[in-house]
Amino acid sequence: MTPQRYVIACMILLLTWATPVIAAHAAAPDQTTRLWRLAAQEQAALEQRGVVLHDASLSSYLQTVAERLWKQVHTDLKTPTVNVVMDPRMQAYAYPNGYCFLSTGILNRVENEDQLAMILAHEMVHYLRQHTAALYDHFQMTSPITGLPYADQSRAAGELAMKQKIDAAECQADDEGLAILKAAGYCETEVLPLMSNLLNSLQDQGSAETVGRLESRIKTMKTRIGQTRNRVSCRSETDGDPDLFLNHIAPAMMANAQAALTCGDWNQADQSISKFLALKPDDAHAHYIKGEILRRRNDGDGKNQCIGSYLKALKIDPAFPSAHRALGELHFKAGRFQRAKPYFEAFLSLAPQDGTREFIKGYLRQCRD
Amino acid sequence: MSGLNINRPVIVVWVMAALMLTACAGPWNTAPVQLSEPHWSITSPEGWMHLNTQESEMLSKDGPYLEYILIQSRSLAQGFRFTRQKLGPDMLPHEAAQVIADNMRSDPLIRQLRWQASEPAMVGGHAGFRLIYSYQDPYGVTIKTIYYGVILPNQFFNLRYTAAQRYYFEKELPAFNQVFNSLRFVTDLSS
Repeated sequence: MTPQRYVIACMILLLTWATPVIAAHAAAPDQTTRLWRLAAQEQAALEQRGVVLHDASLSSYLQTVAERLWKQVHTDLKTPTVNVVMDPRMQAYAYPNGYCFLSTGILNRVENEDQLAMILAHEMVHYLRQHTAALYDHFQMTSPITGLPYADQSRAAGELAMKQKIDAAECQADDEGLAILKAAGYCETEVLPLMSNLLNSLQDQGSAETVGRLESRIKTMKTRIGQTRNRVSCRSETDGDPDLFLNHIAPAMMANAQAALTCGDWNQADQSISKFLALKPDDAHAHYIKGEILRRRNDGDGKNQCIGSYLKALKIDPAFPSAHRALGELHFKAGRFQRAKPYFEAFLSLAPQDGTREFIKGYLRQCRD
Repeated sequence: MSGLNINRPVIVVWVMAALMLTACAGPWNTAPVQLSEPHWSITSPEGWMHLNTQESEMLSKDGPYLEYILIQSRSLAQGFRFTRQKLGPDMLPHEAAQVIADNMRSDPLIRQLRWQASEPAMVGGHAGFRLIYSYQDPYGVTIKTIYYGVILPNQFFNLRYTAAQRYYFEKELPAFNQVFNSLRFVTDLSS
């Protein structure tokens, strides 16, 4: 990553929901163009990493919520585009070109549409106020105190200035985001439960500085909630059916379970797949993922419990190849070769393109020997 | 248009190679003909350099950014950088391969990761696995790796060849194959 791309990536990541800018002025046009180009490069890099979740129904739902909020904003800027990245960490960030990214990790912690709307409204303000551009612009300017460009100041002074700018931007994003939320008819009472939920998750992750910032924002938010005298009655699209919201974001929960499984975050993987299964108990793939979590976590009675999940997957879809393979492996490792054989044979016939075929053929040969 | 027709990635490769060779000039020595550790030995390719680190042995001819062979024997309990999954003594070769692949997939700096092979392989006479993959590093250079791994009684042994896909990978592949074929484990691996 080039230094400039690194700077913009850092700025954008600092302007996230979970880790908490704004200047009254916008960046100079040429710098804005440059930032937008760099932002587009970063987005292309996310695509190249293969971590952007492409799910038409989820994208459509998120965009509907974003458009409802954006109608409350008077601006010539284009409506933000919401994307989802498959990452179990809690992240939400807005690029200066209007692309907002939510991680599956943050969606996993959101309980309803009002909470989702607050996260989106907050990120929209970062975009609307062009906080990244303002921050970038600020660090190109000369400090009246030192006479040096802000970017050339000592590390400590630079960090302090950066923190102050970020805190100011986060405060504005919370304030204006809350106003957008209410104007769009969403319930502000869901904001504090959302922030508490995010705080608990951050505490689990042990990020002391970020926790402190969020605690301070919660304190400020408590003074803001419920101050409006003539409150508009709130209503989300998913009112009346508590599962409707979860159904909308179900693809993100499945993706989060898989992403958390890949990086070995067993608790989050289990939490996401359990939520998904509560909604879709007849999903063979989800039962298989549950089995994989139990097996790979490799603690206590997980090895025996995972068999139940694999068998459920096969009961729902007898032609689900990965569950056949997993059961074959468990029997094979336990020395039950005759029981492993039919599962391996079924897997090989059902998954002619699978990358693990050569391994399974080898195990099967050993079963036959 | 006159002048050298060298594109940006090639320049980046050369600059990085020059920087890394300079930076690593101290601990690099001429590779011994026979490189031996308590549990394994290999024959080094002629004319290559050797770097011993705490965790691994590295061989390179033109500098590690262009190509290197890395040999590592690590405790099964040792964690990975990008995944919290652990290897276990009862893992089948493809289960171990999956942990290695998941660690690669979780690396945020890797782009365009492409899996070209995941297959069983005999590694020093033991049932292991071979992964072949390529990816773009943060400088946009495509890197290709052949990764052999095997679960041994108390350790995970891996031998890998990583090189810039363009030109260098094929150039030094025979040297790597020679190293791989020379791998020997000592008889008692349980200690």
